[in-house]
Order: sequence, then C-alpha cells, then structure tokens
Amino acid sequence: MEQQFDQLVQAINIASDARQANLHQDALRFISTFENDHANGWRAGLTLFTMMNSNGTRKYSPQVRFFGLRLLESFLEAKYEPLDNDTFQFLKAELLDYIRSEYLVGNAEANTTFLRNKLSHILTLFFLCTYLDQWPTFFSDLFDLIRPQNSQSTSAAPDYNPHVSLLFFHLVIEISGEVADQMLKSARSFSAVRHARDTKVRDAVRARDAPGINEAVLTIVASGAERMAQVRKGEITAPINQITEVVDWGIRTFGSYVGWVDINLTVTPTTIPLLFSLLSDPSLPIRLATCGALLRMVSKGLKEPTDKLQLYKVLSLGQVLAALEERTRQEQQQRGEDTDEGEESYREALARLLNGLGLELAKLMEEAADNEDIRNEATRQLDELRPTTLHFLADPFDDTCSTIFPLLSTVLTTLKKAKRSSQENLPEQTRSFLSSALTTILQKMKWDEDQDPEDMDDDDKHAFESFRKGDLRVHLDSISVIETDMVLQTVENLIMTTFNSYQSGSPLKWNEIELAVYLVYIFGDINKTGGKGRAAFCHAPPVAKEARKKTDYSEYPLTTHGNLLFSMVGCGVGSYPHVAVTMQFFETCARYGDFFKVRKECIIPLLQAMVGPRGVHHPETTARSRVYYLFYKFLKEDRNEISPELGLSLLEEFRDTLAIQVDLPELESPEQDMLSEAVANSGIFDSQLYLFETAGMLISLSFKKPEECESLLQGIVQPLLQELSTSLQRISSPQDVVHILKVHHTIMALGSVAKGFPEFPSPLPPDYISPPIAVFREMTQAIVVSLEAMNVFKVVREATRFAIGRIVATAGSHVIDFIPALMANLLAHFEPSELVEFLTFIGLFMHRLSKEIFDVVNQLISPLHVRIMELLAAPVTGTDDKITHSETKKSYLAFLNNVMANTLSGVFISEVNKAQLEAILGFILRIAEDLSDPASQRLAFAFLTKCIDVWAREPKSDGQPANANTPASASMNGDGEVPRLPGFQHFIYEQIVPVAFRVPASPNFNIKDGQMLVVLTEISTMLKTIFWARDREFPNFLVSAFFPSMGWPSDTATDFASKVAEMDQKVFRKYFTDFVRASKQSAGT
Amino acid sequence: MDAQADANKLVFKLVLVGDGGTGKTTFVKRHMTGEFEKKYIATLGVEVHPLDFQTNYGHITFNVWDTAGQEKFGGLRDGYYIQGQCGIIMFDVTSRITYKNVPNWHRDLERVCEGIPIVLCGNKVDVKERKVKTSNVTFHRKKNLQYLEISAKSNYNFEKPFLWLARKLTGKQDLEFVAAPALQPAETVVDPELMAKYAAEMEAAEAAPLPDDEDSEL
Repeated sequence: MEQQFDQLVQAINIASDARQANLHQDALRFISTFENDHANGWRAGLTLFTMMNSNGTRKYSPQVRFFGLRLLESFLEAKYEPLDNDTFQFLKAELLDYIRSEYLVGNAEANTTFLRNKLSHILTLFFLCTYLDQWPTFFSDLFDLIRPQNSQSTSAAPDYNPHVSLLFFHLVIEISGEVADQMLKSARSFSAVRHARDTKVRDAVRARDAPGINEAVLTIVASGAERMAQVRKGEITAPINQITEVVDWGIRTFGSYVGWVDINLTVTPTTIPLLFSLLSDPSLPIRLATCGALLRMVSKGLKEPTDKLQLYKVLSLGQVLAALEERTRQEQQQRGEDTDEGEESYREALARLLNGLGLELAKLMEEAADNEDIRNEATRQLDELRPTTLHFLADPFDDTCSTIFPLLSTVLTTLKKAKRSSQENLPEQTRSFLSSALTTILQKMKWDEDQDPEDMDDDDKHAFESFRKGDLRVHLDSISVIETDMVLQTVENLIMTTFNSYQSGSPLKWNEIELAVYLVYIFGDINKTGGKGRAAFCHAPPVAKEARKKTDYSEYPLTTHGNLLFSMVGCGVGSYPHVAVTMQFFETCARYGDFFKVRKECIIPLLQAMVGPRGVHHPETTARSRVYYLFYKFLKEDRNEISPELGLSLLEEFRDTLAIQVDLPELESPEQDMLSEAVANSGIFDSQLYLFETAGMLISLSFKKPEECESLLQGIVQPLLQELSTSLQRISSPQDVVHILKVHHTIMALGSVAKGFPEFPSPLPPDYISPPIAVFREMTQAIVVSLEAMNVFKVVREATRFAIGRIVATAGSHVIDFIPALMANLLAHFEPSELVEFLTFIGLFMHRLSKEIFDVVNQLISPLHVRIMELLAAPVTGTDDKITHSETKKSYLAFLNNVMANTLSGVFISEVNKAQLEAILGFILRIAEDLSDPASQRLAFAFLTKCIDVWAREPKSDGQPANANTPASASMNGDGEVPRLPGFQHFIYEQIVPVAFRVPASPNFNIKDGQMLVVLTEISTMLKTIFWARDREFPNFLVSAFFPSMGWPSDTATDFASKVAEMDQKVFRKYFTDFVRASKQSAGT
Repeated sequence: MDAQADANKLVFKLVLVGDGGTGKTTFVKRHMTGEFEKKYIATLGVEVHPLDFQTNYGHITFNVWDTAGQEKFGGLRDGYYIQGQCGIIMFDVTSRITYKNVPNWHRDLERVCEGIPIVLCGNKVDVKERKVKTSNVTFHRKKNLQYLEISAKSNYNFEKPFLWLARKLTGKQDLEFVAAPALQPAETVVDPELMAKYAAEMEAAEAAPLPDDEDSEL
C-alpha cells in the first residue's frame, strides 16, 4: 500500500510536469486506476490532501494534494443519495479537522488559493449530499469556526479570520452556483433527480440557515469596510489588500444569494447604506462587485409587483445612479486622452445597473397593464431614469453606450405602442427625450475624428461600421416610427447645414462631412414613405414602363431625398480631400442610380470623378478596388442613360486599368499550394474583374451596329487571347506559377467580358440582334485549348468553369460543339472538393441547354455516381470533411433532381447507365430514411416522386397516359418521348412505400421540427403521385397487402387508402400531416 | 513558473481549455508550423507548446497548456491549470453545445486561477453554417472576458488572443507584436482585399432591397 502510494505521488508529479511529456501516458494510466476505484479512490485522495509530516507541515506538494481533492470530487459529484453513515462521519470529522488545523491555527494554505477554492467546491459537493438528512448543522458547525478569536480588543473593528472568511465566501458562492445559478444550470445536462435535489436544498437553506449566512456575510463585510476606512484614515495599520479582498468577495457572495433568499434579509436599513457606500468605494473591484450585487437585487423575482416597486422606492437607485453618472462623467472629461480602462468598466457597470433597473420597471408596466397605480408609479420611476440614460447613451466609449441599448429599445417600443393606440401627441417631455436621443444617436454615427478608417485596425473598423448600421440604426428607425417628421427633419437639417456651410467655405472636419454623406446614403431607408425607382427622387406622374426612357424628368420637382442628392453632388463634397468622404460619396451615388435618371446632368460629373485619380485611378489599392465595384454597379443600373459614344469614351478612360497583373502572396509554410493561395488572395485582380465586365457592358451598348460592336469586342478580347497564348507557351514547368496564374486570370477576364453582355434570350424575339458570336466562339475555343494543355491545374479548371458558364449564358447554344471536349478535360483531373462546383456547372448547362446536352450527361452519370459514393464512404476526420460530405451529398441530390427537371430522365435508363440505376435508387432510399439530415431527405423524396411520375405511369388503353393532367407531369411529358421503365411499380411497392411510412413512424421523427414537416409534405406529394401514376392499383395494394402487413386496423386502412385516391393534393397533405400527428400522440400516451 | 524578467524575456503559462473538437490543438499548432491540421486527433491529457512573440517591449513566450477537451482523455484535468497566468476558452461557432459548455470551463478555470485574464474564442468562423451567431455570444459580457472570433483555418485573428493577453499581463496597452526573422512568420494573414470584398458583398446585400425601377415604378 505504502509503495503504491509513493507510485501514485510519483505518477501525479510526472503527469503535471511538462518536461516529462514522454512519460505522461504511463503516469495517467496508473492514476486512472485510482480514479476508477469508486470504493477506495476517495480515501487515497483524502490522505494525499491532508497527510502531515511529523513537523506539522503537509506531506505532499500542492499539485499532489490538488489531485487528492480531485479524487474526492469524482467520489462526491453526481451523488444524489445519502452516504453510508460511516463514510459520512469519517469524512465530516476529517474535513472539519482539516479546516480547524489549517485555517484556525495553520497558515491557511498560504499562496495556494487554488487549494482553498477547490476545497470549497469539495465541501459544496459534500454539503449537497448530506445537508438535507445527515448534516443539518453544516452551517452552524462552520460558523463556530469563523467567530473572531480575540473579539475583546475594543477600539478596532473585530478582526475576522480573513482566511476562514474567504473560504466561507467561496463555499457560499459555490453552493449558489450549484443550486441557483441559471447559467450554470443550463450548461449542465438536465437531470430530474438533480433538479429535485437542488430545489430541496434551496428550500432547506432558506428555512434553516439563510438568516445566519446573511448575517455572517454582512458582519464580515461591514467590519471589513470599517477597517478599510480606519486604515485609509491612518487610524490603524493592517494589510489593506487583504481586507479589500475580503470585502470584495463578501459582496460577491451577497450577490450570489440575493436572488434566491428572502428579500427582507438582504434589503434592510443597514444593508442599503452599506451597499451605497461601497458603490463609490475607492477600490475598483469592490465598486464593480457592488454594482453586480445591486443588479441581482434589482432583478430579483418578486411575486407582488407592489413589493417590487416598494423595493425600488426604498433603494431610490435612480438618484444614486444620476449622481454617480455625473461624477464619473466629469472624471472622464478630466482624464481626457489619458484613458483609464478600469474606470470606464465602472461606468459600464453603472450603465448596466441602470439598464437592469429600467428593464424591470418596463416589465412592471407591461405586466400591470390593468393596475393603474402600479403602472403610473413604474412609469414615473422609469421617466426619472431618462436623463441618466441619455448621458450614458452619449458616452464616448461604445461599450458603455451600448450597455443601455436594451433599455432604450424597450422604452422606444413602449412609446411606439402608446403612439399607435392613441391619436394624441406625445407629451412635450417625451418629445424632448426623443429629440435628445436622436441627436445623440446621430452624433454617435460619426467616425472618431482622430481615426483614419483607411489606417485602422480591421476589427475596430468593422466594429464601428456594424455599430452604426446595426444598433444605432435600429434605434434611429424606432424613433422614426414614433416621430417620423422629427427624424426626417432633423436628418435633413443636419445634412443641408453641413452641405451649405461646406459650399460657403466654412472649415468642416472630415468626419462631419462624412456623416452628412452617410446620412444621405441611409436616407432611403429612414424615409419609409418615399416612392420607388425614379419616384423616390422626383414628383412625376406615373409613366408607362416603355415610355420612361424617353420621358424628360428634369422638369419635375425633386423630393426631399432627390434634393439631398442634388445638393450633395452640387456642393462639391465629392472632391473633399479625404478618402473616407470620397468613398462614402461614391457609395451613395452608386446606391441611388435612379436619381441620376431624373437629373441626368449629374451623370457625367460623377463618372468623370469615378474614372479620375480619386476613383479607378486612386493610388490606394483598397479604395481603388472598391471603386471598381461601385463604378460597375452604377453603370449597370444606369446603362440605359449611357449613349454608346459615352460608353466608348469611358472605356478609353479606364482601358489602362485592364492590364492583368499577377500578385503572389507570401506563403506561411512550404506546405501551402501557391496556386490556390494566389487565387484565393489575388490582390486587386478580383475587383478588376468588375472592370472587365463593365467593358463588356459598355461595348454591348453598341449592339445596333454589329460590326462596330464586334470590332470593339475584339479590341478588348484580342489582347487577352494574345496574353493567353503567350503565357501558355512560356510555361516551363508546373512550378512556373506566374504564367499559370496569368492563364487563370486571363480566362477569368474573358468570362467577365462575356458576362457584361445581356443574356441570350429564350425564346428568341423576332428582331433580335445577336452579339458578336464569332468572337465568343473564338474565346471558347481558346479557353478549351488552354484547358487541354493545363487540365492538371485545379485553378485553370476553376477559371474554365466560370468563363464557359458566362459565355454559354451570353451565346447560348452557339458554342455547344465545344462542350464534349470541355467535359472530357474537366473530368480528366478532379479533386473531391471540386465536385460541388462541377455539379453546379453541369446544372447550369442542363438548365440552359436541356436536351441538347443529353449525351454529355449520359456519359457522365455512372462514373460520377461511383466517384461520389467513394467520397461519401471516406471516413470523416474533422469539421472540413463533415462539411465537404454534407455539401457534396446535397449538391448531388440537387443535381439528380435537376436531371429529372430538365427532361433528361432517359439518362438513368440508357444502355450505359441502367446497370447503375439500382445503386442510385438504393442510395436515394438510404438518404430518404436518414432522419439526421431532413434537408437531404426532402430532396431524396422529391427525386423519388419525379421517378414515379416519369417511369411508373401506366398507359391507358386508348394510348393516353393515365391522369395526364397531374401538375407534376405537365412539364415532363411535353414531347411524349419520355421513356418509361416497365416494372417500376414493383420497386415502388416493395421499397419506396415502406420507407414512406417508416420515416414518419420513427421515434426520432419530430413533427414539431419545421424541416421534418417539410419532409412529410414531400412524402404526401409522393403518395399522391403514386396514385396518379398507378390509379386504383395503389389503394388496392395498400388495403389488401401493405397495411395488413403493418398490422393496421382494416377501417383505418380503408379510410387512408380512399383518402389518397379521393383528396386533391393540398387536402391530402393536411390529412396526412394530421394523421401522422395523431398517431404520434397516441403512440406517446 | 512565474513571469520571469530575465533578460527582457517574459514567460507566461497560458491554459487553453474548451470542449473536444473545437480546434484547440489545431490553433496552437498553427502558430508553430503555419500548417492547418486537417485531421482530428483527440489530445490526451495535455500538451505544452511554447509560443514566442516578439513585441515592441521585448520577447514574450506563452507556454500554452493545450488540455484535453474530451472527458475520457482528461488526465489531470483542472490539475493542469495550476499556476496558469492567463487563459483561452475555446468553443466552436458551428456547434451550439460547445458554447453552452463555456460556463463550466470558465468556472473550473476561475476556481484554480482566480482573476487571471481570459479570452473567449469562437473558432471556425470561416464555416458558412454557423450555429452560434456573434450576437448570441453574451457570456463574456457577464464575466468580463474578452471575446474574439477566430478561424484557425484561415488564420483570421490568429494573434489577437495573444496580443490581448500580452497587453493585459504587461499592463501596456500600446504593446504590439513586431515581426522577427527568428520566429515562424507572425504577420497577420487576414487579407484586407478579401475582407473588403466580404464587406462589399454585405453592403451589396444591404443595398439590395431597393428595387429596380423597371419593375416596380408605377
């Protein structure tokens, strides 16, 4: 035994020592034998923890003793029945003995707070399983230990043993955590036994010991507070840090139980002044702890609303908070630039307290809707908090400001309701509150003057951006619902004042101008009553769609928003020398392209700015690449206002930005693939693609002159093709990343140019003028040739998929002859992660080209299925694999459905693929039954439905298919050539129908889950489709064979079968859902 | 074990905790090798990794105690936290349960290492199917922790937790990491272009509801 003990100690020492990592596993294996020994492990633990040397010191190191406690923990945790008496008596005696020797006469585990804290947890676990029956005197026994030993010394406040005090505090906090902390409770998995036990313990503590605990805590805190004061005044000398620590933890302890013991104990004529004095104590931790305790007090649930109001009256926190807010605000101003994070966190804590109090008052108002006295009193108290709320709202620190957002939004919601239910105007006082809140919010929307958004930490920048377009906007919108005119006018005034003073030459800070431009940007959202399209900007009579282009809108007066934009463009802020202003200006113009359709004279100045040195030629990459996008976005929306000539001159202005440049990122490790890294982080090239698309768009404006259009397109495309061919020739080896990337980039650029052209219409209108097809064919050919040479490179395959997809959209079936070669090369090399994109790509083709692509899909199906099954069968070793699997599965299911939807069902039963069909259907059935993934289940049932509809339809004797008018079949049988699959009905009855009923019958099928309900809907559609395909045969099968085999009563079976046949789809869906719901309920009871 | 001030070199013990599979080991190894660990191998007990950072105030080493998240491989469990000077609690934003467990990890850590600075890290923010949204993460506000979102995979915010802890531990708010050739590359790899693109896409989405007049103007 002795020897085993030494080994255990050695093992613990090894396992705790980072330098002996190679021995850890052996050590842990040895240790685990003690951990798993439920009968005796704890005895070893206790010995490790308490064993003394002959000189009165502890025998083992803190590490080892800590593990001793851990062994006790495994014994005591999750123990819900009483201990046997011997064990109980033994443990109790040992633990009390330890506390006496260590804390009363010993050195209280000096410097090893972790032993004290862990012990308090062990004591808590012991308490939890003994307090109710075996050790009801737990607390009184403990208090006997705490009492001051030398309380006869008179002048000084009594000196409670600080070590025992801290142990006691930690113990009470642990107990509160175990029996009453909601957050910890929801972090545990629910156990009914435990829940019941905790309730009983709570009740017992309340009934027996709460007064004693509370008295002990408050006495120690009060005494500590007094001693702190004495030390600070120099009346006594004592270790101030230790006393502070005791008071801090004492208040935290008070806060830990204030929520679950009788309020009459915690709120008394002595506690309130004590707490208020500690609320402004010089020690920051004590102030923070007091804020926390008061917040708990304020949020405590009380049955009677009157009691709660009475509590708030007694506390009169409103006045205290107002005073402290003012004081801390002045201190903050005095500190100026010299930020003190601690003090700011105190202000934040005060704001949180205010927020909590306000929310409780609002809740009282809500709940006591029928009690006018309570409502009035709560309203009065809440109104009293308004000025302090506004001050916190205006705090320069966004963390503090946002702390009172919940209160603000509750107040605004209440006002919204009041406004809705009454025609009367709000009281002047309320209006003035709203107006102040509004002004404050608008000021908070301003960037910090000293911060340069271009040069800020990304996180800080995004934090501010989401702050201003998130929370601040929400509040602005709320106020706007209550006082629409006030908001619109205030915002309009702020904007116009800024623009006017800018125009008149007053010096303005960049952030003031930026705010004004930003407000123009969001004005469209704030102004809910604004019109749509052009009507948002000018008061014009309705104009028919076709006539709009020819209508002269310049004579119609502008709306407010139109005016704001007009002033913004006119006053010249667009050329203010600060990049944030310029960018916001471009953002705003690009967002409201419709404005420029009613004031066309503004277009050219804007476009000139956009192609100039502040726009697409901006020296800063970030700004420049953003303008690429905005320029594109604006032109895309206003392309009808752009004459072909203007288009051409613009093209000349930015042609120089179209040079393709390859930026190589720095790799972090040699393992990384430079090609994929360079594509993922391609620098400005990503945005440059917008310019290529813009080029295509501008060229397409000349469509009425096909020859000119073709030569313009050649002007852009030829250099790219040159580039492509040169780069291809220059590639010397697979390591020649620059040239490979050049090929990638060039193909992407070609695709983007094509994207700029309008989509190929279907059906073709009679007067259609084709785009320059010859050029698109040349592009396609060049891309396919490049792919052939470079199909081993994933990035080239990716670029090809993108570009060909765009070209097919523009040129339609004119390029179809290239597709077989294309597919062959795309499939020659393949990575699992590409499957999803490849499936999407094929999906696009099927959608665009339908039957024309039959052969391609026909060749593809079988190998594709094998590939996908391999991938899905591979083991999942991490989050990445899990995601790839689930995405692949979904894309494949979507793809199979697409094949069906595009009348390509024949590929499944063609000569080359029919051998695979059973495997495919087997896969689908497995998915259909997999309740862990309802989204895929739905797709699987949808696919089965389509199969049934196409393959199982029995021709009637007159040669017409049965029930030809079913909705599902209308699109499938258009040309009457859809091949059927004789005998498919057997598969339906033997395989599909059982699954359709097994799924909802499964115990894991939760009908309350929205996704599962959708699955059920899909099943009902499928059942109905079987009837449409097979007619009476289906209900007959159900009644005579299937339902009897399931043991259904015959009347239920007959009823169900007739419902499938008679009801229309919608009615049957409801019937089926109700049917499943009812059977779930009866199964549950 | 304490912060040693020998020759401008500060050493801190950092305790890294959180549920199994949240990416603790991947996160730590990312720093040392720059390589993204694709496979999941559960940590047994603990692994200690020294991570070095060069700052404008000198050299800092975090001895990161990467502890087992899985109950069955726990080893000494909270025994590893002893004398920890700072902590990271990690959860996985794609898994709700790992966030739900954060209070347990926090309580255990706080018990052993009273009052140490702690960062709460939401990992895997690169994954599209997020289950724990930023706005749902409130635990840190209740307990005064710093919350940071990271992606060990894409390196997003990789250094932020260390930077925050280094500032807290040294009390120097203007502490910055500086690149040092002797170290594995420490420069941030968040691509500003990419972030700008994300931002652009988000704003594009925001601007989207304003309808095209060709359809809606009447």
